[in-house]
Amino acid sequence: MKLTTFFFFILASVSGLPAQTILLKSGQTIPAEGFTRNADMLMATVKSSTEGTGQIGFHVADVASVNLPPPDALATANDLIAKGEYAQALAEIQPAVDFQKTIRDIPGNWWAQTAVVESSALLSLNREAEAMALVTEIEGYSKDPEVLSATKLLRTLTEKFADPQQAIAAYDALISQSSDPQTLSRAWIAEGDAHFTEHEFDEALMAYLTVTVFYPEHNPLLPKALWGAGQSYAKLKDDANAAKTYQNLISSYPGSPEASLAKAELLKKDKKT
Amino acid sequence: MWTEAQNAFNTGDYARAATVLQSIIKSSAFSPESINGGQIAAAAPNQEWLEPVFFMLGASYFNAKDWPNAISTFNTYRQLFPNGSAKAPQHLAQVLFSLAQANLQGGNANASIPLFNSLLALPGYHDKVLLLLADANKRAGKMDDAIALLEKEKASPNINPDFLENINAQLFSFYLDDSGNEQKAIALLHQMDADIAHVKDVTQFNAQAIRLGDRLLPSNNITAANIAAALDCYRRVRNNEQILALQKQQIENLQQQKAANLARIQADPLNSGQLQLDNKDIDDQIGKYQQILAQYQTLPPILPPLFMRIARAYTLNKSLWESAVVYREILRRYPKCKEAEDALYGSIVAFERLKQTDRAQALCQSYLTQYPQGKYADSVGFLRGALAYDTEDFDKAISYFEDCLQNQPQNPRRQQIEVIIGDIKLRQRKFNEAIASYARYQRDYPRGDLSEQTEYRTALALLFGGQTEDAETALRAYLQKYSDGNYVADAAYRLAVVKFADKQYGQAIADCQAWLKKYGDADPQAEVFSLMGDCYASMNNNDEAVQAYIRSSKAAQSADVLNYSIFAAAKLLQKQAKWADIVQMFQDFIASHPGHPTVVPAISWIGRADIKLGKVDEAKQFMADTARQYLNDPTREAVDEIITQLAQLYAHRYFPVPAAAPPASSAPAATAASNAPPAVSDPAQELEAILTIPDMASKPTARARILFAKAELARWQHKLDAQQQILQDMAKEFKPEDLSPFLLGQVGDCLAQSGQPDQAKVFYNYLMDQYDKSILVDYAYNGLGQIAYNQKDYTEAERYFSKALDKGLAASKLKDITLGQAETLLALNRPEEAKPLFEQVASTRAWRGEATALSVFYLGEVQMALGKYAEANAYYQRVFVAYQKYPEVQARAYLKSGEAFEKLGLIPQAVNTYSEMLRNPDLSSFPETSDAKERLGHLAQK
Repeated sequence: MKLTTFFFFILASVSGLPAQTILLKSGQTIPAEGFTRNADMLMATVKSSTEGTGQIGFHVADVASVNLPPPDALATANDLIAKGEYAQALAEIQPAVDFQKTIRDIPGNWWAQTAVVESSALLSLNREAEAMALVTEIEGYSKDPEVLSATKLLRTLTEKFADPQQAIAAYDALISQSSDPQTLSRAWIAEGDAHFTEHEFDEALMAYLTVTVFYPEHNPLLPKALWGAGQSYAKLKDDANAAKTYQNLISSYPGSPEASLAKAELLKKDKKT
Repeated sequence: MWTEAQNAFNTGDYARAATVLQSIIKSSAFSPESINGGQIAAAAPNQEWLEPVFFMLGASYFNAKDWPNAISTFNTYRQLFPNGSAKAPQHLAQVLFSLAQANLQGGNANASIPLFNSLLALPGYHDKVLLLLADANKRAGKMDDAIALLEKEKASPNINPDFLENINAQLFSFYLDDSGNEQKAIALLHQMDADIAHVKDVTQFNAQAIRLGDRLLPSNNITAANIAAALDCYRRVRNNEQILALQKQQIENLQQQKAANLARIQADPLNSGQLQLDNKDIDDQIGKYQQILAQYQTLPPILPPLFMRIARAYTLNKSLWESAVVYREILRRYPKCKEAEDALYGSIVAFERLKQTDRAQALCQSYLTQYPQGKYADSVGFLRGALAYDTEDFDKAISYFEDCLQNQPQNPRRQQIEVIIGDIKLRQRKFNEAIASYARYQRDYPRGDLSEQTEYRTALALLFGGQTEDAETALRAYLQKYSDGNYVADAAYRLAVVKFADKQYGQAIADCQAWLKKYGDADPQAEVFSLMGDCYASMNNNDEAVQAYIRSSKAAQSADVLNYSIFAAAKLLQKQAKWADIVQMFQDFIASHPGHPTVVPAISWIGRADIKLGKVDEAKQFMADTARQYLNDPTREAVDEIITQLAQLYAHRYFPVPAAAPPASSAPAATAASNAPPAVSDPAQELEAILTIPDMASKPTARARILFAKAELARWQHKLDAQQQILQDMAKEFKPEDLSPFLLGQVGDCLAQSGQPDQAKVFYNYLMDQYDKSILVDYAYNGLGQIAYNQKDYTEAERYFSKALDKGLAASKLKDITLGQAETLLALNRPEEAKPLFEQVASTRAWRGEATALSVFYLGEVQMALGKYAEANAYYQRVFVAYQKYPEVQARAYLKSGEAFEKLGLIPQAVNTYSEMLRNPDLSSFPETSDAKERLGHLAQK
């Protein structure tokens, strides 16, 4: 099974998050402009009524949770992974992971989510051991079902299945447990690949099309799904749909590696005719 | 009275309030002074106490929705108190606003427009007036003004997001419902979607998206662009979880805003008045949002009906795979939803149209199990039978159709089903059952629409079943009853067949001639000619017979008739040694049917005839000419068969050409030539030369085929090492896409047999993927299965073998695949399943040979696995007695026989068996012989 990249998905609806806040165990909510960790203190930058700023320290033991917007690096790193720029994505996400790790004992932090993206980048760079070590660390820490299904997916993708049917069953299990579009996209594509290897091209096609039909927007995995669909159509001797899919891939994602493959396929076809 | 009026107003009794207020005005003896044009003068200062009375009177009428009186009162108020009230300065604006609304509601939108416009500049009124003003413009028929007003407002800076959302909602309705501007509605939907966090009512947003999507998909004028736009709208719909998350987020945002305010209040309590008021508003808002959240929690699932719409859109776009994916997703995510039945039916239809028969069949079964009385049960029942019929699975088709008849009394296709059952029986050659089925139809539907068909087919069933007299009677009855019927030409031909069966050849020929005169080139003209040929042949009038057969082959519409006639003619010509005529006939055929499957046997006939005519070179040339036409096209599978025949000609007709004697006086140039080795004709070179086409360098398939021709030549010459070497060379030189299915199979087999399974897989996989419809695809299934078996990956091996057998893909490799599957099942410790397959191989006469010996041996292994040692031994003994031609199998059988005796405790017999094996010199080199020696030593020690 080919190792592929993984992206963590951020709900569009969360994008308009308000300022950061600290919820103390006393029930008090503290709005803050930013945080830093200093030993067992959480230092919050706060605004006064006169619009001035200052730092207030809170014992971590007194903090119930923090409310933080998603780090910008999450989206940036995901975009870079989508473009195949894995090393840059890693460089982008690592500082965020490091910072989030300093507050990961406080509920509301983004460590697990950012660490999943780092694992994905590492995996794409074929640094499998480091990726899996991080995945193990995430699994030991996070209880978020979406994070766990993402790590499970990463594990499933790296697992060397002797039997493709076992692989398909594993992907099916992931699909039935997850509602995250990126996890689902990844799992459907992996399932499509497994069916394709098994020469079950109709099943493969349906798996790839599930991605193009249900998760067509802002999905960095779409070029892979379109490429898989085009290949499956070709194997099913549906040349018209194969060509249409390749053309769609080329026009929609001209810079993707899959677009180059699609161009080559169309050229091959032209030569034959 | 004033107090009474106030109380009535405050308790919502506006009629009473109005009455009392009118009484106050009356009792005050106030009479408005009329001035020019029906206008009234402003109230005198001593009358200003009446201002609140008129104000409340107008409000009472307004609240009671008594628009005419409200308008009249507010107009009076405006004239009496043009500057409003000093005590209540807000009254004048309120009056104007109410007057505008009363006009709008009272049907006078035009009158309301200037009033609303006058209020637009007032900060407290701007937002609410704007939306009403837009509505007033719309009602006044000024839709462009209404839209322009809202669009202008949207473009203004720092617009409040909540107000913007209200504008968007109104604009959306204007675009979609009032101006039919779907493109603007789409753009607006995108804007709202991008800022969904500020959409107060996401369910309304969903409804708008769905409505717009539906609007873009009318039953007529479907365009790809509209379908794409509709899908885009549907995809913006938020599901239940997203709606709840958004609502919770809005509540959380308010709570955080409140917390922030609270922090500021605590920091500076003295200046916190406004912040406290803000927090009170926030609390109210949170309460409202929580109520909405509670409502959202009880919403039915949003996605199933939405997915049905998406599936429909894809179907309209003829994207059936996509619609099948959507239906599958509905069933996967919401198996119990009310749309599940429709989704399942949609899937069936999609897969049926995609010709995915197996899937459609399975889904039909699933539907009928889940919804035996469902709304589509009749259609699905029929479709299930029809799908089985299309794949020629006749027993299943009959079973499904009978199931319909038994369980679906209201099925509208019952008549059709009864006839189809008869037709299937006819195709199965179960003539009496076919006749019974047609009789059932005639009994059930004496005046049925399909009566003519059943009567005619009853006659056919009688004829095919050999009941010629009854058939003749039935045919004549049919012709009499349906003189203009659909089958009269066919019936007349069948009557001639009856005469032929009765050996009335002359009469049959006369009938055929009459038929040709009457029906000309109608169907079944080719069969009529063919029947004439049969009659002439039966009368030994071979010339006439040949002519008739040739005419039949030329008129034939089906391959069956064509093949029957052309080869019948060929055989008659062969009988008369008319080789030139054979050549001419088949050359004519090839010229008129260049791509026909019969071309290959035709070439074979030409080759044989040319050889008889002493024209070996012409035969070769003809075959080569034909092969060369498609030499570089890997999809032309017949080329490989022609090459095989051509190679056979070169192999068998190879005569070295003696070197020519040198002339008495040779020129110096010729002297050098005479010193060269004598020229010897090389069939491989000749074969290459005759097959070579121009520009070979750029034609890999042609080059591969020439190598293949040489490999075949080597095979015919029994030079198997040379053949294998050439095939291995081909594997190195060519890519899989250069090779035809047969060449892929041959090269794959060669690589697999020479211990290069990984290389072989590349060729097999290409064959399987690229030529899955080729009859030769079983090379791939067999090859991949054997490789997996040899690598002890029995699960994988079983998958390949069983797929080939279950899907009917095994043809030329049927023996190997059957044996491979049986061996695999045995290796998987499933002896009971393996047994019938071994029995099949052992009992198939055409497969006699090593496979038989192996199967008998394995039948012994099956018995051993079941612990039946005596039965096992019987098989082993049969092998080493009856199959001595295969010493490898024989050696294994000896050893296992000894082992069986040992297990039975019959040691002397075991010793005898091992000793007998050791005495056989043919077996001395096999590892089993060493094992036998060891066993013998062991037994001797005991």
